[in-house]
Amino acid sequence: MDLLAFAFIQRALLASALVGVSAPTIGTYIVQRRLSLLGDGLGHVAIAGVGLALMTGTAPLPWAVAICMVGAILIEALRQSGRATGDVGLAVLFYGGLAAGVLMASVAGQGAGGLSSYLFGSLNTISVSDLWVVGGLTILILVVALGLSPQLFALSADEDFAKTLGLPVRVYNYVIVVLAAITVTTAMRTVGLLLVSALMVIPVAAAQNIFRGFWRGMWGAMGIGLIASVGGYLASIYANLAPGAMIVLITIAFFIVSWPLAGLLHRHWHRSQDATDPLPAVHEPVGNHAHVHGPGCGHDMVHHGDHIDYIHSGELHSPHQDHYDQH
Amino acid sequence: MLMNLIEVDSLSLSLGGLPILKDISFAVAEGQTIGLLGANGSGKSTLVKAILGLYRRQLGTVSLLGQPLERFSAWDKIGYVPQRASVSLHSTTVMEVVASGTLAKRPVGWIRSRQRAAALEALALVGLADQAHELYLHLSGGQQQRVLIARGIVNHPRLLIMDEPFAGVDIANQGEIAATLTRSEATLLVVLHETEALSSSIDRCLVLREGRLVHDGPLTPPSAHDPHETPAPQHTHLLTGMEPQWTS
Repeated sequence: MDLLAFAFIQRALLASALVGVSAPTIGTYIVQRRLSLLGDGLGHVAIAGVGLALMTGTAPLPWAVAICMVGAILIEALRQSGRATGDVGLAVLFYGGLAAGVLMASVAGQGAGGLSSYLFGSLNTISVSDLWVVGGLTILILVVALGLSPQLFALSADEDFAKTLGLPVRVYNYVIVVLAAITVTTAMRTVGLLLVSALMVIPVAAAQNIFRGFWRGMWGAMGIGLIASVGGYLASIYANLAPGAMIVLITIAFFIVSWPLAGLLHRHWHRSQDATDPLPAVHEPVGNHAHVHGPGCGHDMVHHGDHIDYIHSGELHSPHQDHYDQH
Repeated sequence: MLMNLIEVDSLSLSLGGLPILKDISFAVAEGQTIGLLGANGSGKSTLVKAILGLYRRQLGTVSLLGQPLERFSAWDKIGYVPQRASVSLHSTTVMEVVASGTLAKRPVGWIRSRQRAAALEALALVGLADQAHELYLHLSGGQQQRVLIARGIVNHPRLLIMDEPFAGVDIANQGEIAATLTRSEATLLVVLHETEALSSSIDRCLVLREGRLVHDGPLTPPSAHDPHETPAPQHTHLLTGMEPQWTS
């Protein structure tokens, strides 16, 4: 019987696809803001939520979401107040979360071993109710992250400038970290809390090498995340290997391949640009040119590639050594 | 009487416990071009950011376009060009950078073709329309600076505040950008290290030293140079710390 006919594998495949798309979406903003390890820290905080769930005998996912969101808001409040310098506050929060999670799991009589399915993922045990929660949270992440993408981009690229646009920068900063917290917790059953940051960051890094521009990079990262997650899970079930690790290693393979690919694409792009250059550079010296071009010389200046031409008697004149070339 | 687009009254600001701005007061009337000068660390960039409300705790009052800063909402009428060194625009095209300037007063909504057209127009004004789809980081320092200027002027602001817009820009391009700025008819407050490119346009000059406003007046005394010649920069004293000879 084909493995894909099993309901638990279908659920795992769907969960992989959802997380594979959503994690790099929010990861794009995180990488742009140079906070690539935020997901890793939030993963530590989420462990406290899992520990609390084990101790109280309730479902881990809602607790992990709640605790992780509170942690994310605290981190952002520390950053905005300027008190997170030196990262000491963040370290206390992250490792405090991890220690509290392990402690509560041990109170529940499970020890650190009870946490391992959340630390490294356990796709094959995803229940229908888990899938509904993951699906709902993924839709929330995508709607907000894509719907507000111009504003969140402006904020991630240049926070001071975004403030001078009158954008609600403080609110959007909280939106980004809360979405990151939700992403971390939805991914804990697929790649696990220790590897979730990789799924948020590495597809983005690979896509930014391959695709030109922020939005193309974001869509590219979503595509790479989807392929790596679904491909990694399928490879893991047929080869009987750990799915979370397989997914992350495939994203790294994408990243490694993206370097030479980026060089090829860059050369191709510039060749096609040169072919369509409306002002092709023809280096033909202009004879008998007594006038000296310069700012305020009376001739209009136009930018042409990496230099300036002067419009002179219907021609483009460019200074070259001791003469002018007609371009 | 012309409206004051900037009014600063008794502005003081401390960062990390250190006083950076000390009891600064001045006003900028509509249509003026104001040069803000001072040595490194004198508080020029901090003053610009304080005027724009980028610090939360500051003493004194600031009004923009006649509205107190706390209630100011006409952000589409203000253009800001930060120092190039202060922005991080990884993996972003020139068009994306400039189009982000059109988001003033638009807390939600995607960028539409009309906004992209405005961005292209602003890029043409700084001579970079043919670089719209190039990556920002692949441009030279001077070109990156011009992209930030295009982003600042994309909404045709009434008031344009710029922090060292000519840093890293070669002389030929400085002249071109200065001409673009003076054509824009915006009121300008410009932090400058070198005044050459804009010297003929500057109506008034503010000089900061150690966080205090030590001069508010002409760049050079009217009698000190031939009005038909380009005035020579008169601010070398700022780097030496000596008193300017022409302090009013």
